[in-house]
Amino acid sequence: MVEKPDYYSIKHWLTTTNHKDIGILYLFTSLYFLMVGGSLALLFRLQLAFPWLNILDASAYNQAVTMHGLIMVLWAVSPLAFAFANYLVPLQIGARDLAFPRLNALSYWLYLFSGLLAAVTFFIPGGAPDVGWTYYAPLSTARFSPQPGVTLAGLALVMLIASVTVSTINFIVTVATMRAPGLGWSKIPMFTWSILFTVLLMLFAFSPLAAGVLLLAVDRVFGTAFYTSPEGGTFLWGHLFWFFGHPEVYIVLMPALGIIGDVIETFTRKPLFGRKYILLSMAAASFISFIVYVHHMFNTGMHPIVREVMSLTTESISVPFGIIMLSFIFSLYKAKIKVTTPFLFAIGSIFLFIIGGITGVFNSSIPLNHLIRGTYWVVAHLHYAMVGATLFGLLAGLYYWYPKMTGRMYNERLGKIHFAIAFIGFNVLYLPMFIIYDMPRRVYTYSVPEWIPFNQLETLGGYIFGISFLLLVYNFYKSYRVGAPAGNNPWGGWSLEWLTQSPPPPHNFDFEPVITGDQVTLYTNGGQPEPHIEHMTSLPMYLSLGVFVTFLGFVISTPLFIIGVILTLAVLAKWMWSDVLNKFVIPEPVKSERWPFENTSKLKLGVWILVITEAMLFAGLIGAYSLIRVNMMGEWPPGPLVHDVRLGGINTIVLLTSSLTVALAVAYSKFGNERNILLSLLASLGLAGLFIGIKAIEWSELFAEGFTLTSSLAASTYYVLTSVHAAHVLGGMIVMLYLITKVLKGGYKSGGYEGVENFGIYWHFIDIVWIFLFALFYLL
Amino acid sequence: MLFKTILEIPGEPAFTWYSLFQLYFSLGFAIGVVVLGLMFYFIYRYREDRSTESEDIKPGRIPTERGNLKVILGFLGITAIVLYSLTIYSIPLTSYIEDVPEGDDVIVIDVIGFQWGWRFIYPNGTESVGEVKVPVGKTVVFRVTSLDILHNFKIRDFRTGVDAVPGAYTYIWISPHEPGEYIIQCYELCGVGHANMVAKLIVG
Amino acid sequence: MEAENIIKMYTLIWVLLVVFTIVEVMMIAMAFPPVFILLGVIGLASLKAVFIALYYQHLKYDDIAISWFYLMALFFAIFIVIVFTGGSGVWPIQ
Repeated sequence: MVEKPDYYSIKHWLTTTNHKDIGILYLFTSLYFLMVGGSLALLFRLQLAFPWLNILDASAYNQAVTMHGLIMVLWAVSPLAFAFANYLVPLQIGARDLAFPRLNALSYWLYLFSGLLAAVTFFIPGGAPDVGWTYYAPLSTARFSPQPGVTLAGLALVMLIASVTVSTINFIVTVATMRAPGLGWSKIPMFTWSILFTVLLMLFAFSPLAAGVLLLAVDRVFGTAFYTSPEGGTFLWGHLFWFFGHPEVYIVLMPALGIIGDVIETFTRKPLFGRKYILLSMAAASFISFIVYVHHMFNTGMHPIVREVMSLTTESISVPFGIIMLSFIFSLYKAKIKVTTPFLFAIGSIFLFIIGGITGVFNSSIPLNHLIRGTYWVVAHLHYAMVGATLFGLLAGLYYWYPKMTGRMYNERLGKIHFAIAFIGFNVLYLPMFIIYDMPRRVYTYSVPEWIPFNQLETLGGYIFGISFLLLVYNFYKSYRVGAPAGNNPWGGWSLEWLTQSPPPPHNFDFEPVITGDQVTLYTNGGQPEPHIEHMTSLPMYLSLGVFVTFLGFVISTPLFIIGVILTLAVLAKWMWSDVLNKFVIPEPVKSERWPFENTSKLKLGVWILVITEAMLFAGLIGAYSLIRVNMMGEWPPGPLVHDVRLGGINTIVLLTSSLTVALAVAYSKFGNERNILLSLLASLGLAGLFIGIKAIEWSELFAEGFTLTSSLAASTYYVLTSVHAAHVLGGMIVMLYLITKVLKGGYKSGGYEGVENFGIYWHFIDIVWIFLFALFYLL
Repeated sequence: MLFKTILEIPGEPAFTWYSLFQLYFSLGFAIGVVVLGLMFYFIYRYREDRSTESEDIKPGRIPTERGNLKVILGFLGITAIVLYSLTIYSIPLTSYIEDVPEGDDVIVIDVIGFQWGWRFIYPNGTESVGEVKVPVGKTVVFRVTSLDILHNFKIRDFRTGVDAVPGAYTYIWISPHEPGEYIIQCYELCGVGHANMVAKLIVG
Repeated sequence: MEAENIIKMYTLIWVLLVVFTIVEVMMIAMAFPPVFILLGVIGLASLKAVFIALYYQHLKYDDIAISWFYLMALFFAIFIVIVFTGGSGVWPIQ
């Protein structure tokens, strides 16, 4: 084992894979982005206080508003929740780390570099994107917004989606398979539950957005017309964006609800009221959040039935949240309440969420939407929900777990003063927006005199709210140095994180937590802590840096792009090579509680989750296909008229055969027949190559016939979907090469051929996708 | 402003809109006050120094379930009834506001949004940019489209608006009672000219 | 299962998949009504996908919870296609 660098050295932070270190990194990075997004808000609040001011002109104002939205939603608030998730989920379920620590480091570095990539847009020619954080097409297409910043921020979004996907896999697998013995689902703390719901939402929501951004990038770079085509383009982006955009609200909110649950339980000294039903409601709300998104498009004149149904589902989502809020409030009934800073923030969060929720019900009404779409009513509502409820909830968590993370108590009085100032500032900032609710959003100036005093009030509130955070910084900084030692359990909490030291040791527990009935028992292994495997690696950091340089170069300079590609590929090769040599192995937890995944290994579950995200990516793309095709009606040529059905059929059979050989490789791996595994894999590799070859022939023939990428929407759709599929085939071929090398190197001698089996799951999925693409493009 | 007196409302569909808004607002306000009042009462009543309850949260002990299904079903029932009755109540209003009036005395004016302004085409073919004149007491239908990107055509004093979608027509109607000048404005970010994408509606 | 039986089963499924593909292609060659072709092609493609998922991805022999995930993704995929097409433009379509 490599010697560990000193905790305070830079090397430690660049190479750590420990979940608590990553959590701290997430915490500082997200607070940094919170500061950036907040400063932008203070800037445009100043502009709005005096409509004749010109600190920001129209373009600068739009840039500030756009980046404020993007940064706050994607790079500040949600990652702040994941700071806690990283730090606490393994502690709360009694695990030593997350399931895939290196991938966790990768999540963080991708997140950091994607945020930097988004921020870099301020400093390139043309400036940051100024199209609104919703990136509405066709405004975001090259014709109306040619500046490279729009593309670059889109690529940053792709990088962030990669980071989120990796996190999703990691957290689902961790919570599903690594719980301490006896810790059944009903015994998990609220916060871990809320993170589970969050990552489940992420699993289904983020990939369709990737599909949308991909189409936008193709539009902007290669000149296709997905979003510029009349009518259809506007709707295509609306659907792809809001299918992600609405669940995203709950992705941001859920962790705060979990924190509130834990905080209320601890400080009321009573079990939550209707805990089971709160969880059921959270599950219901998570599901419903996917089927309401059309309420963002109520004004578009879309088919009335779609809108009426979505109006109804939107009303419905308030029911589970009503239950959650009332249950939280009834948890205070017959309790013994200790009013501390985290408790105050939790109550503040509930208070603001109720206002945000009730004003949200207005948005579900189609008639009311005729006015309130695009107004400050929406701005006020969404900030009550996303800043009020969420940020106050997360701040409750920050105060609640500060003693656990640092081992020291913060200054309680300063904390309460911070709460009071923040709460007042927040309401002075957003309450007046409800009064002048018919003011349009995203305007840098306005001419209605009655709006001026309210805007000035809002600006005042904004500055009060912003400045209140200095108290938090001062309090935490001071307390970190001179605060009173907190001890293991300053609040008397019940959950596992309070049973270990503050701050916890690298291996989390010096003992084995085991739960029998409702009692946690701590088994010590003869005084010796369980050996904890910890690896330091800089590969995740370099890989993310490589992607960062690639994307930046892609937009601003070709040599930089080439350097980036070389760096990325080199790091990937190094990573695979270290895996071939089995340099990083964590044994499967033997005694963990893992229903309903008793027979699924961590890695296999991880691959399955990856396949689900891929399925959602293709669902988004096929959704785009069906929208475009329905819109084009008669203009879309039937497949057999354009494509060579016989050649396509042969290619389908080629891919099906490669699936057979992969299945055979898996079968042989069960019996340890190494020669046949190798032969089957080599055959699959050859067949996959053949598939790509035939595809190349088809494409060149189509090109010769004038059916090119930009010749028609039907052609663009065909090329984009089939090349995304082909990219997956190429990725699969790289993995096959890796597997063959590993088998040859004897890397599977000890562990059974798990890699082969897991690859099979992925490869067959690629096959299934092709079966549908073949039907949709060639046959129909 | 939050509310307007009936005299300040210039015509339909603003009357209908306000009646619905006021219904939502008063219900929402009442529910908010009751729920938050309950919360503050509980915090006051069961504070550490007043409460005589025991402390049931103990380190390393998984909390038992509290609360019962009946109360939860009560929560569910109350929220569901309030929300769904609002929905059902507003279904006829939706079609009232969205259905395009037809008839001989209905004036149809074409509206074309562009970066950054509004062009109006009257039934007789005359065009104007930035200003539209309509008579008092008649129903006017705006047939809205866009030349380039997504805009939102909003007449805020009449409490109505609709997206201007490139390549398609969407409809709204107004029926003004009060002569005067009203603002038409774009309510969807559409580039640097967005804040000034304004037109005048002259009634009378 | 015996090694030979597994290999036999995999090969048998492959034969089925190939036959289905050939049937699909032949359906296009014959002049069936469009609705018939639409349903037939989507039906056969779905059938192929189900065979691959159940046997090649051996969902049939794995923890049932994995199938829940898959079904969830399937539900959202169908939902996306229906809503995207139903709400693909301004109503009534001009």
